[in-house]
Amino acid sequence: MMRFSTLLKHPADWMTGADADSAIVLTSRIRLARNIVGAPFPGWARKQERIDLLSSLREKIESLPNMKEAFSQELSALSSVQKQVLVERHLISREQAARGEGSATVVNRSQTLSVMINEEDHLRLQSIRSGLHLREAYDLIASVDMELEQKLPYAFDHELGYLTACPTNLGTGLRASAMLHLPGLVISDHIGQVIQAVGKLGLAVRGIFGEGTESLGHLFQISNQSTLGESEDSIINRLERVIKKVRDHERNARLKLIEDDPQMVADKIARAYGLLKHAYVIDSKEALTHLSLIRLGTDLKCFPYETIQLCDTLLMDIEPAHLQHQAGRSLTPEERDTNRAKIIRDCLHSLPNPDICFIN
Amino acid sequence: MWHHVTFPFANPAVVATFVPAMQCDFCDSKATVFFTQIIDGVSKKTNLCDSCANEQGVTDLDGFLLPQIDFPENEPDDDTQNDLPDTHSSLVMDDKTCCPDCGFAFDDLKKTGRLGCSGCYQFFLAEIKHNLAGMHKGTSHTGRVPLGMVEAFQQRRQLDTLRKEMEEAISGEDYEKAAKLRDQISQIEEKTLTLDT
Repeated sequence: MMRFSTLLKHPADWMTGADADSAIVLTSRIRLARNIVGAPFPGWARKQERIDLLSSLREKIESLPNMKEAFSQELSALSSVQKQVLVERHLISREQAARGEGSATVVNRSQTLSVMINEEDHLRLQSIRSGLHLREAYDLIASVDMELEQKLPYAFDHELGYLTACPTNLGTGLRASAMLHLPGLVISDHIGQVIQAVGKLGLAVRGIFGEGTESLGHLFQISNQSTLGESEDSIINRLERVIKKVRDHERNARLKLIEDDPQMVADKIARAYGLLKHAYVIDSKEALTHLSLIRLGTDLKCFPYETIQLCDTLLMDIEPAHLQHQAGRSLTPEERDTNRAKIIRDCLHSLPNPDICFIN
Repeated sequence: MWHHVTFPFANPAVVATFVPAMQCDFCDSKATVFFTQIIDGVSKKTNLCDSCANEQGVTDLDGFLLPQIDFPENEPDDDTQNDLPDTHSSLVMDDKTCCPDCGFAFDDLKKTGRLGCSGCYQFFLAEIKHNLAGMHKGTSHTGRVPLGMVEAFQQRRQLDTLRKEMEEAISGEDYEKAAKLRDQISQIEEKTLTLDT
């Protein structure tokens, strides 16, 4: 069995932007919701019922060939910072972190596959890949699902499909999503139209916005909303088509920006570089905004290509629980801002001055 | 589908508006996080202060885990949810009616939007079905079927089609065809029964 410390020491490839194509689409994720016939859903089950079901499910998950030497952890045995670290790494959900006894997570060695037991549903199977690879993520999860359905009596109805605790997941129980970095569309002020257009196709777009029009980290998630009345293939194909379109729009927006107003783009990237390299106190919003510009600058060839990986690792390492886990104690918000600035300075120490190659 | 959508890439008109200091939608503190979700083309905006944003999980860097926030002001009050159309009045479901399998009450479903167990779906089927169309593309599963249930699934589908054809035949007064279809249906039904036992 893999230990917590080992898991943390080796972030998965998809967490650090290993895919050659992750400049715009950071990650692809597929999640399946499954439940067992005759057992109350975790949110309604009594504690003892949850504990009993957990032990029988956990054993079956751990014995999957894909889960050899896996990380298997009961949530109640983790501290709140430890749980939060797993949330920040997207290995468990916020909802699961809030759960106590009778809930566990099993993560495979390469952290491409994780199974949450007794989250909102009895089983939540999740697979994440770097870049736009929804199909690969689905193939892995479908093979695990097929192995499990031979050992477990899934709750299934011919009309409603896989039965889930929340009716919004009925049918395939499949949620596919991708995380996109869209600074070009945000800076050129076209993000609103893109979001509206995607929304009209029945897909959900989520992002965090700072005050006014400025967005936080320029990160957006696109996912399917409907799970019933549409096959797995059709959900994934549709989402993939839309994501490719958005990716093309982002690419065009970047090219147009450096053509129309190269000074402005250079200024943003170079200032972000200066600021991150020399800040002693930085909150997460400010850090995110500027790291996003370094990420954009890397795609525009101002920095060595590996800088994307550096940014994505940093995005994770400067999150609150990661900072506290690293410090080995809980930190006040002020202490976090100081630690965050130091980690960024250290990490970017050897990053050369931006080469503004698109001006001359 | 996508081809019908064009991105009007003209600069939107700049509208100057006076923006007063916003209040958090969850408490009275000053809002610092402005969260927008667009689902099915409908945009929902929420203003939150730092601590409520943390609590609601919207400060999560990677939106993978962004929850769908229930907006306090948008929470449907029970009255609107009770407004089932009249066609449903024949099966008036009392708030205290409970699922025989797990004891989950209809009232709980209305409050949480979740069910107690997979058996609840049979028991509260009419109420749930009523809401499915607004939630999903369709109301009938077309995806994968667990191994071992495939045969049953196909038989069911076949029966549905045959029954529909039979009804059509009857209304078209083609009784010969209807009788043939009826025999076919009962043959399949018999087979299913033997499978079940």
